[in-house]
Amino acid sequence: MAFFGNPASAQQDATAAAGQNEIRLGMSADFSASARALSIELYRGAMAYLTAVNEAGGVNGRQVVITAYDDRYQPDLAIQNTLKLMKDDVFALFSYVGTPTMIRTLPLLRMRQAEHFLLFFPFTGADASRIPPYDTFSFNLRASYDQETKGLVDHFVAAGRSRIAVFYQADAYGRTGWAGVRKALSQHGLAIAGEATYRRGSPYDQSYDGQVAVMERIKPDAIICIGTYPACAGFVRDMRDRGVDGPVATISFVGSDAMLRLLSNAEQKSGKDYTSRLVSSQVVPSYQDDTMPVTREYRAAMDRYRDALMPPDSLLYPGGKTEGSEYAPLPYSFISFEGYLNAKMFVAILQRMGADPQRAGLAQAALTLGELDLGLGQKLSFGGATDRRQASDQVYYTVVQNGQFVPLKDDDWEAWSKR
Amino acid sequence: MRIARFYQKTLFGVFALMGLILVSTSIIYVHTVDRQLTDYFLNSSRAIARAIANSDSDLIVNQNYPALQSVIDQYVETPGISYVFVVDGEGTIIAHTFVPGVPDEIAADYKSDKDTYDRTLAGMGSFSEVTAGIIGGQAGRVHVGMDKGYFALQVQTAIGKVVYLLTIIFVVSVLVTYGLMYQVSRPLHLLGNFAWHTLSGEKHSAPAANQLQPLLERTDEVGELGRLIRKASREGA
Repeated sequence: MAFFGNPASAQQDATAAAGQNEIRLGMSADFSASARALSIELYRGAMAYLTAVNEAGGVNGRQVVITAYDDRYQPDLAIQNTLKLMKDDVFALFSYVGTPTMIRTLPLLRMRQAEHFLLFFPFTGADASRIPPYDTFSFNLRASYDQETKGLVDHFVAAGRSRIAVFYQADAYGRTGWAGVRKALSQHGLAIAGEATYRRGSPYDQSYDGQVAVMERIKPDAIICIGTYPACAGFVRDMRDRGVDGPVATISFVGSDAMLRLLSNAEQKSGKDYTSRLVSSQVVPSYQDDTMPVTREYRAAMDRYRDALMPPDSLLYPGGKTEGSEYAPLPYSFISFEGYLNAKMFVAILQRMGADPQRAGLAQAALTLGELDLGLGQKLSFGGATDRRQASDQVYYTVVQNGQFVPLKDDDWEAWSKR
Repeated sequence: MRIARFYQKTLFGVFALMGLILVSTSIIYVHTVDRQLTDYFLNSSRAIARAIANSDSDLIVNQNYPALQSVIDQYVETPGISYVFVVDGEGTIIAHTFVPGVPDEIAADYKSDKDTYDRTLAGMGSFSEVTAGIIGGQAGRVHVGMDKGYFALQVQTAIGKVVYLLTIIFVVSVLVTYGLMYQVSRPLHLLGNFAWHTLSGEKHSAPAANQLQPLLERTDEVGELGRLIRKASREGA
């Protein structure tokens, strides 16, 4: 279940010999179960940046490596992994994946606050890491789910779609999105039109007819999905198969590229249209947008390191690789782009800490980083008068065109109006 | 292996008494276990509902629904707990564990201040649902649903084990009693044959000498009776 280090083989030996010459980050994520594409791509994106940094000599002469453990998107395993990472004496916890796992982990950081373990840039927009009592134990780069769902609701309502239903994962993640939609609707004097849930870990292949039947009864103007790519893709497939053709929105955690891959494959098999009328909110801009220098930089790094960025098989296939279980990495994705930005931001903080960085000084270094442009064309910062722990508030919207997600501009929402 | 006829009635009486004890014990046990285990499961559910209502009232009041959901997700892993849902002070279900959604039967009836509900949910089964008020019911109620099928199975398993044990004891007792009765009645049977053979004119096969001799040497009533029969036969001869 455990893997020490950097996927670049030349650096694995150095990783195994943890010591003064490296800064080790600890990551707990689902590398082998239902949400593995999210974790693998986030890891690959982070490693694309760190590999380049390490090749250039590291940060103040130190290599930055990741120790990753598989939690299979299960909160209890995430806690066990965090305890192991604390025992490993990692410098910081980094890019955890998932709301239910993070929510259960934060109290552990609080219990052991004297050891100054902090969680940097978890791949979740849940409020738990943004509000007391746990806000001081984490730093977030991305916008929150509240901001994503509010944006979607505002746009749908403006387009005359006021009967909004929610399809969500029956856990803390789903509840976060549900609460965000509810809050956003209440600001328009509206309520959730109806809801359907699915169990965490539900695969793409299972039937979602029960959930679709709920939606058929409700007849919403739009559905916002708070889920992961296998369940959301399965739900969209079954909806379209049963002739329910209303707009469906997903939020960033879904893993829109992985969802699109499943739906595109299904389209090829059935000849049906599964990818129209899909909108996905993102917390990073389109990686195809060449107006931002960081997108070119990201794509170049992903192209350069490619397969070397993959976590080792021992992490991905704990029970051994079997036919059909092999993960095919995406050349680029919103998630690996987010991982890349996470690593870039963290390295920027490390660079401020000098030659002998101490865990106890990490929060202060982040809070005094000042305004930083990672190449997104926007200034990011922590701290300030409100002791801000979230760097970006930006939410982007994308739709599928020609088999890929492309930006949906504000004017384009007109096409989503209820007729 | 025959038993003397006059002992057969005694044996029947003993078996009937034992059967009566077995049945009455089982009935009392079934009743007691059923009541106690049912109470135990309901009390456990009630304790869970109270624990959520009391310890997590801050989460509810502060509308920290994800953290609340995380809490109820943990409780629903408890064996027998089928569902948990939390209703806020305005009567909205703010967290639940249902998939693919809140059942229609619950959506139609969950807003009262009742402590218990007896529910049958389509496609799910029968449930005993207990509730606990959050801040005296002002901030809402926590509902915990116990699967009746689960605790019926637990009760049946517990009862089944005891009835199984009692049945084994009954069968062993019957065999042992039968064996003992045989041991008591067999010498009388032999003595009867001996008496018929020596005292009556009818043709009766005499017990073998190796069977008769130990009887005549016994110091108990059987021995005395045997010796008396022998004496009577000699005097008659």
